[in-house]
Amino acid sequence: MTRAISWLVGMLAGALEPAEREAVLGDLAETNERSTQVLRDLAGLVARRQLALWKHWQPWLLLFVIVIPFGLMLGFRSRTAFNLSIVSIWRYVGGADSLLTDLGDHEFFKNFANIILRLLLSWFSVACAAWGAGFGIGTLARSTRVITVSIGFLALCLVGVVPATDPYSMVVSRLHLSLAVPAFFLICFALMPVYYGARHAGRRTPPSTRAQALLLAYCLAQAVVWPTVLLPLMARHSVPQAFNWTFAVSRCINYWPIAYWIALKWSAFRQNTVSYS
Amino acid sequence: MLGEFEYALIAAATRLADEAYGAAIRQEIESLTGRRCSLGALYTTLDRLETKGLIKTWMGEATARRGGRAKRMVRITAEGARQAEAFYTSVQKISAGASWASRLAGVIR
Repeated sequence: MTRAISWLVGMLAGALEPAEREAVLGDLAETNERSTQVLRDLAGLVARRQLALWKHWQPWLLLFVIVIPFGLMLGFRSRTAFNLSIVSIWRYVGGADSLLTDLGDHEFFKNFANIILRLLLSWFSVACAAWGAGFGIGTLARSTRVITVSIGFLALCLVGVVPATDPYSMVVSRLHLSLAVPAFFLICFALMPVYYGARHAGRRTPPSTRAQALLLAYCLAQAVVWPTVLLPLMARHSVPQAFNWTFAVSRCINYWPIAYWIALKWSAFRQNTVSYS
Repeated sequence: MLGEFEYALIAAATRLADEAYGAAIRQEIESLTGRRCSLGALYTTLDRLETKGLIKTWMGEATARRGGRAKRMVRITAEGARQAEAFYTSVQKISAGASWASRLAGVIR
């Protein structure tokens, strides 16, 4: 079995319940069938299982209320961050001569470093939101996550790559940047974090009901509250005073995966320390 | 009443007795019927039969041949055996008088 086939088998088997995955992969190892046959068999079983799950209403509700809006939202954020980065760098580098004269070397590079730092932070913010989305959706739609996350990917790509008509997009399109550059950005900072978030969720034991409720609230806030309340306010550049704290809180919440990873590593470190002592 | 594939699965598991698990049942069905048994059909039918209370499954031991993975063992319940018998009886009854039934009766025995 080639590496690519093994990866595909692993990915498909990941959609099965742990006990069934164990039995099925064991059966496949025992029968020594051709790789293509193994893939076809496994795909058939996964398709049957998924079809059975999609007969219930819950996966549909999750798909339309959370997954598709979240995917569109992430696509929008990814595109905005990319456009903003390109435009900011282009404006600064394009006017470098006059800025160097006005500001001097030291100030020029200090400002440029500041811009780059802010852009890196915005990319990191997109990646955090994407990982959080993958983890949240992977946890809430545990058994249907393969199809659910794939549809989320499609929604994400739809907004993330398709050309738009906002001012930043117009500037970026004038710079003759091909589709490959925004697509690369989208893959690195949105699609891959979503995939790894969903994969991590699939490998962990299901969290408590309280943790699931928190994840649901987070996903709803990101998928529904952001695009319907906060984004229109941002677009009009007239954010009421009362909403300032909401922005601050939502920005902090966006970085929850960092706190989660620190807690995870800390817990692993504590366990190791206890087992050695 | 059982379906054809459900009956085949129960009959194969009965023949295999303590060695009845996913891969073995599949191989048994394929070798005796000469038809391919897909993994999807096997596992979804196992689930269906277990829900109906006709079989009982549990995770068995892992072997090196299976890459250290456990087997899903199968045992037929009393109700499963009763329904398989009912299916077999009705097939026999409905086939009585058919040319192939009398011709094959001697061959199969």
